[in-house]
Amino acid sequence: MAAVESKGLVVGRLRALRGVRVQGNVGLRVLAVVVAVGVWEAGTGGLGWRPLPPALLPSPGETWESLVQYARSGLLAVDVTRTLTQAFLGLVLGMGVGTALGVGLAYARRLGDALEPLLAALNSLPRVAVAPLLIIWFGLGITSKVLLAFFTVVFVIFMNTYAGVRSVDPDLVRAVQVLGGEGRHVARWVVLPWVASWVFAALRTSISLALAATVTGEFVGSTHGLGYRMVLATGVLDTPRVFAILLVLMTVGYAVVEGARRVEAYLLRWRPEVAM
Amino acid sequence: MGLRVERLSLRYASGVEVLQDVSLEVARGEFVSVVGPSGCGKSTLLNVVAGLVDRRLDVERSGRVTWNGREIRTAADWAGELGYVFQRDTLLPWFTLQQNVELGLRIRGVARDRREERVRELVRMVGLEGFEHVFPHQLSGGMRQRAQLLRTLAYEPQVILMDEPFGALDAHTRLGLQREVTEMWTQLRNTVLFVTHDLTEAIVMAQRVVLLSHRPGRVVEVYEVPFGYPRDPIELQGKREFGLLYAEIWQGLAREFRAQDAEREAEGVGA
Repeated sequence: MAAVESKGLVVGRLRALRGVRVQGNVGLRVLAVVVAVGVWEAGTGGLGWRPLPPALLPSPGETWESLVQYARSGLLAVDVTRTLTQAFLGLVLGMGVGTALGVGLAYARRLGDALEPLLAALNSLPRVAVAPLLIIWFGLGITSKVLLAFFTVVFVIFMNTYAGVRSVDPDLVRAVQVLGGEGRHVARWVVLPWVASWVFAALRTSISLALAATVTGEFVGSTHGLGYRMVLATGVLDTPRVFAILLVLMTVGYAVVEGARRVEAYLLRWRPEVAM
Repeated sequence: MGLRVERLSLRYASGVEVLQDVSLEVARGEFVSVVGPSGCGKSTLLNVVAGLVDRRLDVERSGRVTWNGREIRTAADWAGELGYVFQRDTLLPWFTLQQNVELGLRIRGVARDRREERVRELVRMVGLEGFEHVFPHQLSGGMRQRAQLLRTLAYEPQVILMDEPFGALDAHTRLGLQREVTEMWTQLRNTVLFVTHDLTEAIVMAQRVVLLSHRPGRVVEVYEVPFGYPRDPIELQGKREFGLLYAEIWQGLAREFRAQDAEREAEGVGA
């Protein structure tokens, strides 16, 4: 009886925690956004005082107008699709190669030890610096951006996977072994879940990185995409459009990262502290 | 027959000698506990018996371990007949209590409904019903240790090794678990090798107590415990025979502590 009661307590406490997270802060969060936009509006003519011209600092209204125009022209959808596709493909490719390389080299210890410094050096190279080279090699199309995004995330994911496999708790491995478990049991029940939490940590940063790399690639040379459109707008001092694109990038980036965080929180719900 | 450790010696590549010529016999269905000063190699002894140190390159070992005449070198040599309860919590944190307890059964290919039935039965035995679908971090230390015990009992291993299984628990939980384990063993009669640093625990649970020397561990003495089963670990402590045996083993243990201190002092002077 006592046991059942205390279970109810545990579950109740968990629910209470989640409730606070979801509902309690919403009002304050909305307020923060409203205040931010209000300050922006106040500084750009909202109070009848405008120190900077629209070409330097557009108001929220001008930005919104430009965004609506952009959307009506049909180009917004094209550009968002292009940029997201490139970032996504680069990310998927980077996940695949990065985790495979990480697991492979962690098990092939000798090779891993040999390649570690080289990969660490490549990892410390500012990745966007290869963007011009990739444009020369692969042209203005999708390929160069996908590769840039891939190149940007692959080492982060590799490093985390590698560190994850190498840090697997030997006591958990032994626990499964003494239960009679073989290599495949250890791989599925211990190594995989252990490494998954490391890969997820890398994935969250990689999403922003892939998006940034794609936009940078579009700055350097392309025919479509949010980055390309931003370069065009800058060229004619269409600052409201630049702001509109920045807003789109922010919203898209936030939505994707938040989505990934929720998936992670669910898959890793066994962890004592739900990572924020 | 039974579990035999024959002339086992073990030394690390660094030169540290952990076990020296340890010979030990545990008959089938016998409950033997091992005590000794900390660092005397008790845990190492269990790891060797479990077959967990063979593949390590930094140890040098001689002697052998056999179970019913079959030599044990790696964990796989036990062919699923071994259970090991660690002091440290080694429940898999991403699995619920139910999933953890049934791991051994899954490895043995037991069907899902049979597994669930078995877990229900075990969980009831130690008062964990209602917690089957809870993750380990939501359980208390005592509950986690019970879950580890169940994980081992679930597949009914013939030999169970326990390495200070109650070492990290508070006194109250500890007493409760000592009683529970003793009761379970009274029914199941598996072969148990139980390592502890708590002399009282060693006596109230086991049939024999093995005293190991300070490092490198040697068998100093084996004591018979003059009580039958079923027994109540708490009640036993009030008996005269318990007091006598406790004093006797304690004298042996104290000699080892003194020898250890003397050696450390000598080393200190030397350095």
